[in-house]
Amino acid sequence: MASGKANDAVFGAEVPSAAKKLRELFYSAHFIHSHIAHFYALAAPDFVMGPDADPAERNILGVVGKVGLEIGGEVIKHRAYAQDIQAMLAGKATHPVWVLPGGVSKGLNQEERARVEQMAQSCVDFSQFSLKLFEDVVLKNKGYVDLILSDGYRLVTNYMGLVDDDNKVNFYDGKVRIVDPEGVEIGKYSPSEYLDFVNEHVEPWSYLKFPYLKKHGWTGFNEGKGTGIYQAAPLARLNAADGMATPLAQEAYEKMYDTLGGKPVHAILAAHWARLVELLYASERLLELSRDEEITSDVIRKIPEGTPSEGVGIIEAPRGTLTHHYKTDEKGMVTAVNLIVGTTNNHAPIYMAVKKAARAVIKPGMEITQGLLNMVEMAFRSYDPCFSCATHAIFGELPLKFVVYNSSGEICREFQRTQL
Amino acid sequence: MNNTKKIYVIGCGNTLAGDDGVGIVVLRRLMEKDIPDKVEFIEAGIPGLSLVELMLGAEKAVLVDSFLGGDAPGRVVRFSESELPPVGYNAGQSHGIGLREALSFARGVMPEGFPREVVVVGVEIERPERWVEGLSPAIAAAVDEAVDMVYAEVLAGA
Repeated sequence: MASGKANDAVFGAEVPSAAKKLRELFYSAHFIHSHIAHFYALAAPDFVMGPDADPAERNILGVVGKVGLEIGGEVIKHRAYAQDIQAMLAGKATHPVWVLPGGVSKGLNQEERARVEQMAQSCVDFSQFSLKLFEDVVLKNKGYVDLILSDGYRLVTNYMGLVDDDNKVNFYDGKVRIVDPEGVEIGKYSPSEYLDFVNEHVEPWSYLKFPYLKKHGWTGFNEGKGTGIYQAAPLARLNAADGMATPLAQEAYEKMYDTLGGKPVHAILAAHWARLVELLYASERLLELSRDEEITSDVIRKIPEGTPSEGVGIIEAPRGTLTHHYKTDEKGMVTAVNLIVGTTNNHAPIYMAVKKAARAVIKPGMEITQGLLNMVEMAFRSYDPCFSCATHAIFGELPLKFVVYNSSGEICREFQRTQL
Repeated sequence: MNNTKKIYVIGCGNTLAGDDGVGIVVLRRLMEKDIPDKVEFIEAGIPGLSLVELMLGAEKAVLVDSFLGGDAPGRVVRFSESELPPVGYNAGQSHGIGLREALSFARGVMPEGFPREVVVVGVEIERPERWVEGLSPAIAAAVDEAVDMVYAEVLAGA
């Protein structure tokens, strides 16, 4: 979707209103697919089974065993709905070739629209159920709430997210808004202006870059007011916006901030809650668009006639703001590309969060257990990072390595995730 | 998904990663053959839950994919579900749930929804490449055997 929008800009294309709505409808389904998986497969095991539960049980099977097998069926059903909607429009749900400069290649007929509406309503209901489950399992457990709000899982940075004209969260279009650690807007830019606001730092020990705000410059791996570090993921998006553009999601948004003490929230584990608020928003938006009179229009593409040159496209990926920047020659052949992938935005924050969590849970003389390791991983997992997307590496497993130093700075234990 | 077709042949891999794309090459070759109507072909470059969800409604699923074995690039192997290596549920991010675990989960929560039989036809490769289109000679030479093996699985399930 981001590449499609970048191509619109490269070709100077004007996208018909119905095509924009179809793209947003498709993209809402994508968010539903991604966010359901993260909550039920990755976040819920930590809370439903417990952070230090046996890994053999701390997984999605354990979760549905505890909350009900039928919930697992609902997870699959609603993810399949999302894939069905994407395949309906783009021929296939994965790696679709559907967004074209100036529009899309296929629209919706009335029969398909009615199917989308039915599935969208079900997604709204399931999103509300998921929020209720979070409330019952997490919020009613004081230990979990204390954990979420504890210093070990708190990271104070700037926040970024795409917003509409009313500063409400939008996944498909708008301007990127940046707020400081106190929630004050310190920047707002259109895609073509991204290089005025964001730069990328390089460290010799990583081939993934570290984006930062130009306004503050690279200030190192430091948090607090004045830092150049920002976060861009579900919690960051909600922190950077003034609210949600759909009614039920707005209610859930207000409840989250009321419960957690107001905006912005720096508790990184609250990202799971923010992700569910976004799930509800995506479902409601899908339903709205399925009922939009224009959604079955056949005016879905205006073929661009300009000479291609340069363009930037920005959307919100489930894991953060996604920027594609292309330059081409007059024949449209690409001469330069720059991508800032969702996870890349959070590269520095992920390191900082993991370090803080490790320092909080591992104390001198303490035996390093699987449960402690998982509590460090929980900081990592809250971002739902996809380093394979961000680095294009092909490892096939998470090559996480832990090195434990004693108070003299000597290594006292090394182990890898897969060896535990 | 459209569930009127009951045997799903799913090609996995990335055609921009050299030999990793062999599953897609095999799939496209199969599509040129005389195939029973109840067979549906799906290109899938995705792992875990998303891959399994593509099988919803099928009676049988045949996956074609590359694998790293360290023995003999070009070797074609049939894996039953129980022969798939366990990967784990919790690889840190939502792209990382293993096929075997995802199948187990799917069948656990929706016993009637998923294929009674899942077969993987694997083509051993030396390594995936980056930004390379086309297969190496050893892997290209294995495509016919893989096509025949998948075709036999399709006929057996039809």
